[in-house]
Amino acid sequence: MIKLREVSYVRMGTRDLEGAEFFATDYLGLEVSERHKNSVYFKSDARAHTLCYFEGDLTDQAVAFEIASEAELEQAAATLEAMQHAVHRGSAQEAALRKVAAFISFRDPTGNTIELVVRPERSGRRYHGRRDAGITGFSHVGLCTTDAVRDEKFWTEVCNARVSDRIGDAPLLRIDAVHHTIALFPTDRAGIQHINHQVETADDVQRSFHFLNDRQVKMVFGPGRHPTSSAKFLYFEGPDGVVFEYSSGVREIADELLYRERQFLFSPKGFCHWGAKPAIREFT
Amino acid sequence: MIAIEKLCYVRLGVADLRKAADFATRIVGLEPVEGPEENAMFRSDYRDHTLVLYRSETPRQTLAIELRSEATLEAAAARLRDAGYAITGEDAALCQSRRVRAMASFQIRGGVTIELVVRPLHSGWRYFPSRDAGITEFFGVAFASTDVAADVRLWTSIFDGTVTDYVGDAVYIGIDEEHHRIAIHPSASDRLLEVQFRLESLHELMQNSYFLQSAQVAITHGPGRRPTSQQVFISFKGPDPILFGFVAEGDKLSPDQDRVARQFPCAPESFCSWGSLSLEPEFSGGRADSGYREASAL
Repeated sequence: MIKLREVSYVRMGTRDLEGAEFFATDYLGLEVSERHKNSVYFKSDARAHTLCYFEGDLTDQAVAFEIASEAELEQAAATLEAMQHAVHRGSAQEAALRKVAAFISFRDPTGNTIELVVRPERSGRRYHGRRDAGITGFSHVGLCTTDAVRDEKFWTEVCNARVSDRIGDAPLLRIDAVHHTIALFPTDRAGIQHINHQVETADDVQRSFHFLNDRQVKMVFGPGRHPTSSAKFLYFEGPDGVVFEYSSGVREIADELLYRERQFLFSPKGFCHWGAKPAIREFT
Repeated sequence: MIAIEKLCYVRLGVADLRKAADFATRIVGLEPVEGPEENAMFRSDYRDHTLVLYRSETPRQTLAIELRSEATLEAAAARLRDAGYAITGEDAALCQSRRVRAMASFQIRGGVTIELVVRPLHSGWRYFPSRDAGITEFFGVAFASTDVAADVRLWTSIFDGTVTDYVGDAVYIGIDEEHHRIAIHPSASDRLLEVQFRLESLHELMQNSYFLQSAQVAITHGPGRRPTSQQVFISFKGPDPILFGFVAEGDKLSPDQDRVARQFPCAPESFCSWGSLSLEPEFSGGRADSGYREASAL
């Protein structure tokens, strides 16, 4: 069993690094933690970085999860190789680029690039965004899946994820008490489906709606409330069509033994309690 | 006695508005708010603004004090007139520019102007600083005074302040549960010596201390702890004659407590229990030169 501790960061290639940085700081509200010639690192919480944009291909996207030790990382590599997944063991230089002590990367059954990292860098300095978005941290990712049943099996049987709820066939998966850290949405491609940052209060969600709407950022869903996690949310489009989400008030599952996952309808009602209708391909 | 609700804002007439505004934003870390072009206005907390800068040939300084109601304002004006202060009455346009409902003003011996204001503007929006200095509010002020006794009478007999401690002839005055919000230091001139902002904790104070050093800002006192209020503090120089200060922690006093103000000696160690020394005559316990010599010897 590969024990994922938390989601660490997202790395995304872009053709317009300057535009991506502008969006990430002035609109999304992240803080630049490091800027290099071909890449920019962003902070959203106590970690050294939780998002990295680099000059590269748009399909070059990776999500990283923290593993407790190098021994566990080696075990994970062996497990994946036994299942015929091609495992790339990161070089020291590649690890330095990711600000981790060691990592491996592989593709999940859909073809999403997943990195398992050990000792991702923390920061002694607290996060202070460019604008007052109220962000408390990078929290979860939505991943594309070409076969939700197969991929749910991978994340729950090979890794330690548990199903918290399902919307149609789309499983919302937790790796700790937080309702979901990974969500799989059926579609016809591989890639990151959305990137979530938690904000302090529902007021922050509403404020960001007006702030971003005034600046012609494309709203794709919300403000609304998920019946599944009970979080208030807002989805909007960032650079290269990547969807970002703010949410607040995500449910925590304290009792693993008593909790039973629930089935929700794959329809606007299953996604929003308030009646907002998604304009996101994977949600319709 | 006239009840002081709060210290409300400080207005400073400065020689170079751009430079002063840049300092307030980039170094102090305050949040600029929109205002008329001739003013630079800043927030430090839940209020609409707590610092206003405007262009002026000669340095000018104003402290505004919030009073509860227009009736209190009238009573205060009458009391002050009786005590010999010349009161300038309100004017609708001036009230509007100050973003208050009603106001009156007077001067302390031709130095600092005190504005008495009713219903100053608040902001429903969270304070979001220019840099993460950790400021939580406009905390208080320190005065330099040529007549400390007269000023103590003003703050404690006309207004409802209480003397909480003495250091030599310097006086700390409390107006709420804080040890003091106003300090009066004997000096050769009458002016506002320092405007102080409160920080979240000691942690932010020390972060600011290193930040100010790296930004090559002249630190005039601290970081240190006041033996009187137990506050940690740091004072630093801006582009104008007034000092800026950060404070954190500190004793709270119960208003019901029958407390006797304590007398501390006029000495550097009464201003800082960590051992920091100041060249500012008002903060040096009368030993600016010796303090300087000791500091150079280290």
